[in-house]
Amino acid sequence: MTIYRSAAAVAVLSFVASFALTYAGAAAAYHTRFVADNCNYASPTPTTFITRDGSATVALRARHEGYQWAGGCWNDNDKDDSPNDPTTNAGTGGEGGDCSGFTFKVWREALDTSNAGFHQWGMLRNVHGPYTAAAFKAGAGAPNITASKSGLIKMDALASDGHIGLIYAVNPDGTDQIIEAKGEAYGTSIWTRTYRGSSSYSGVRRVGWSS
Amino acid sequence: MVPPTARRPAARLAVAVVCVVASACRHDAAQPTQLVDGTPAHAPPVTLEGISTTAVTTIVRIGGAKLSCGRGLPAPGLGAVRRVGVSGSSITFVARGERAVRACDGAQADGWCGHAFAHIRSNRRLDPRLSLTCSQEGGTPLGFAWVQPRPSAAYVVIEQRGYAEVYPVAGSAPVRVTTAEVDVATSSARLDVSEHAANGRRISAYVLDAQVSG
Repeated sequence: MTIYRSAAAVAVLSFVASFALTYAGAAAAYHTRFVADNCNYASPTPTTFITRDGSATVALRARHEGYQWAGGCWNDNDKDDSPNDPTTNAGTGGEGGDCSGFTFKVWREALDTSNAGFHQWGMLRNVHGPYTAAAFKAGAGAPNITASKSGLIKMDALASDGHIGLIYAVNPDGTDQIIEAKGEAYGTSIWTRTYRGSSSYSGVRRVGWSS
Repeated sequence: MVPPTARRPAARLAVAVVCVVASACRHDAAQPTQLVDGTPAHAPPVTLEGISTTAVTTIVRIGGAKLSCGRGLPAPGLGAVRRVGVSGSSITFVARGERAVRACDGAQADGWCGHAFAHIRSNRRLDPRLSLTCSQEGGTPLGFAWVQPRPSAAYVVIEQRGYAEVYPVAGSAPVRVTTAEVDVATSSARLDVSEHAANGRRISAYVLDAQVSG
């Protein structure tokens, strides 16, 4: 059925949609000063390589920092400087990345999705990058590929449509220690997870590791 | 991005005066003549209040047994909303057994270059969920986002550069809109949105800030 405008036709649609996306202009007034007071928009430093150990070090600097929906700026003082931000609100200006923004920075990715090169972002550079968890899961963008879960190693990722976490270490029982920006109530840290065994999660790898 | 001209009466008047003098505003070089699938572009069936630029209506199709977002992704199903616009196309749907809305996005007539996913929670507002993994020919990034129109809206209009893109509302489904006006550095887009009743009356006009997230 093709409709340029047919009110009668569309009115009978049974689209299952008992949800409400944000009405524009109705964003919460809540706002913190963390991003405004601490973060920057400096250009990234181009580099020629990425190593898994170096990437893990970058990730650990975000540990115990906060979580910010659509965010990507944190310091390294091991506390959430903007606790209890409203969730799923990109405009609160709080500390931390979300899961995909965290992955983007740790994997030294470029804003241009066709660029698989390495861009080193400062902790306080407020950047999220162009990928959602669903995009990472699909292997979207030149730097990212899907990979067999059985072959994933340190600093590869496990992604579902709504979340992504990086493998920090593999436990003897086959579970993984995942470093991830988990949520406002949890912040960013390392937890033992069973993502690898979940059918919702797929393996994702950044291309071009030196070691 | 320039705020909706509808919000700036003085600016609207100035534009109108220039248009009358030049008699050329409706033949802007950016005015599209066809949609991304090659379909000729049409004007909307009603006059849309507050829209001063050339308006182009996008196509919306409901359902289709053969719709697919690609291997490994849930099938859109009969309730899916397929849209074809000037720069991009999309399918928005709720997958069976999920409390989530999904979309696949394309920058060409066929094939998908992006996927979106957002949980649905009763009475909980979600974000527009900007997707930025698609590009037009030449590499210009193309953004996709969801707009949730008010119940009385029949059209969602996005002010594009040189024209207005008109999206007929389909039931209560969020409207997947497209924009090339993206800020790559901040992974965000600022959309000038207006919503209109079936007779073209403007119900609301606002700026929607959409960011890549989650």
